[in-house]
Amino acid sequence: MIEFRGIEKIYPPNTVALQGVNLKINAGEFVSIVGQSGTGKTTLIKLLTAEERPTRGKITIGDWDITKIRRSEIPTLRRQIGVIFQDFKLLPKKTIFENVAFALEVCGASVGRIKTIVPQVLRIVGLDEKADRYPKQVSGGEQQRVAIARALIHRPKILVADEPTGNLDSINTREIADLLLKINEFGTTVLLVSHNRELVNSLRRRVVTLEQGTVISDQEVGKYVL
Amino acid sequence: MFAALFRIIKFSSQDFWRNFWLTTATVVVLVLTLVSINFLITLNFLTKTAVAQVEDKIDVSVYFKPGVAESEIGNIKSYLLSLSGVKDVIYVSPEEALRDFTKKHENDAVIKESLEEVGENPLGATLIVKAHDPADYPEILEVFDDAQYANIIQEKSFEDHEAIIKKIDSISEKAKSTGFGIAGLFAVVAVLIGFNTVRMTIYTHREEIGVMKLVGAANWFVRAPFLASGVFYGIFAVFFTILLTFPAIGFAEPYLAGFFGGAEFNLLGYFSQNFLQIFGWQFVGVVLLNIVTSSLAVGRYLKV
Ligand SMILES: Nc1ncnc2c1ncn2[C@@H]1O[C@H](COP(=O)(O)OP(=O)(O)OP(=O)(O)O)[C@@H](O)[C@H]1O
Ligand SMILES: [Mg+2]
Repeated sequence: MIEFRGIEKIYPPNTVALQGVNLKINAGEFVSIVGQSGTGKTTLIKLLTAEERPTRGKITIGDWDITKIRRSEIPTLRRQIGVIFQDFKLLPKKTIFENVAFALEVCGASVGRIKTIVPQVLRIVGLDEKADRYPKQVSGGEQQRVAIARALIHRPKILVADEPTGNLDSINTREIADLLLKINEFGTTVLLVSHNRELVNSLRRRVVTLEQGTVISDQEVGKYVL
Repeated sequence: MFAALFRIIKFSSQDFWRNFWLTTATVVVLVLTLVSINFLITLNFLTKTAVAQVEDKIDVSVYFKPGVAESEIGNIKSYLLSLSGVKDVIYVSPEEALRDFTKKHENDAVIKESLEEVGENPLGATLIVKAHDPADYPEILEVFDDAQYANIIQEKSFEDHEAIIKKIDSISEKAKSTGFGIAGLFAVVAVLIGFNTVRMTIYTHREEIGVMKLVGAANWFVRAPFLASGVFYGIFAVFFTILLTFPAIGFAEPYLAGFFGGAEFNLLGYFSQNFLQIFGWQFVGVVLLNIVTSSLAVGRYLKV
């Protein structure tokens, strides 16, 4: 479903972030991407969401070649890829409900649709009871779950998580991991970037290891090898 | 679509109040720009009135010798009226001419005495010719140069006031270019402040904008609130300009009317009659100015 072919990314003037990356991810897979700091994991994700363009190579999603995607098509792409980050990126002045609703609002959804969909998604992440709280009034794990709810709001085929548990303790980490697995079970392809050896090993899923911008190992039921 | 439009208006109007001081500064310079443009319009109106008034005073007086038959003069009058450049011809009979003359010189003992000495009316009839346009006078004067009139015309007088008109024009030109300079300066300041306002707004909203892009909001949706705020600024700027302009005219009108001797002078009427045209265009202009400014700032600081 997702295919990176001969990908090279050089940040001007001469930082080589990725080099000769070939990677194929099937629909419905759960893939962890691991590697030391600065090996190009985030860059790989930015290429997928068209935040950056590859210097060389080709990226396809299904039969959509996004390598030379037009600016006007980027929003369509982003609605098909939910993304969450280490720092949640929630809006502090909006409640949990409003944070999730915002993603629908700015994409032109009707008030009626917002009122039906947001509670549904909040229920999936287990936060329907705390919908009226502000991000500061809930735990880090719960904040990340709000971010996941927001990422799921357009029913994306792909969910990308860049170090989602980087700021969380082990209990919250476990909860987020379970949630990601649950989402994957519903059929969403999940791409997880993580530094957490224990977490990655416990998932017993495919692990891709990057080193200095290239894939050095790709195991079906992988271990964190570094 | 309706929901999107509503949200764009909501987002941009929220900013309008949230950044109160920046908004105020932006609107104030826009108002100053518009006020100086209205000053130019007023100036233009004043010049036109003044020139029209002076032009109205221009005429050619043709003094006939005493004893020229009224019918002959009547023929000349009809002929003159048939000319395209002639607006009006007034016949002043010898009696009226004498009356005017004595009245004008009633305090002059010498003239009074000599008139009495002459006994009969020494004055002939007069034709006062007015042209549609000052440029037509040379042609009219030419008519009387004809030899056939040589022995019935005593004298022609033509005061063209050209020097005065030139003076009015040159004063108003100077005032206009100063006005344009001031309006231009305010417009530049308006662009700078507007640009900075949009930049600040983008900065204060960087998180929201980031989330919008993350979740796939359309590019135009991200930009639109900044452009919509241009319309808000336009509405407020024109509103306050109107609020300032009319009382200012009301205040100045009596003085100006006095200056023009009360003749056909109605600045307030001019602004009221052309209200839509004057302020409509100012609104369009201000909104365009703001949209250009916002687009510049958005293009520079909002990488969509
Ligand atoms: N915008 C940028 N401009 C220039 N260089 C960049 C930029 N973003 C990343 N880099 C460089 O590219 C390389 C890969 O960065 P990247 O963020 O992809 O690493 P990472 O694997 O996500 O690291 P981490 O685990 O610390 O998040 C690094 O050397 C980084 O300094
Ligand atoms: Mg990273």
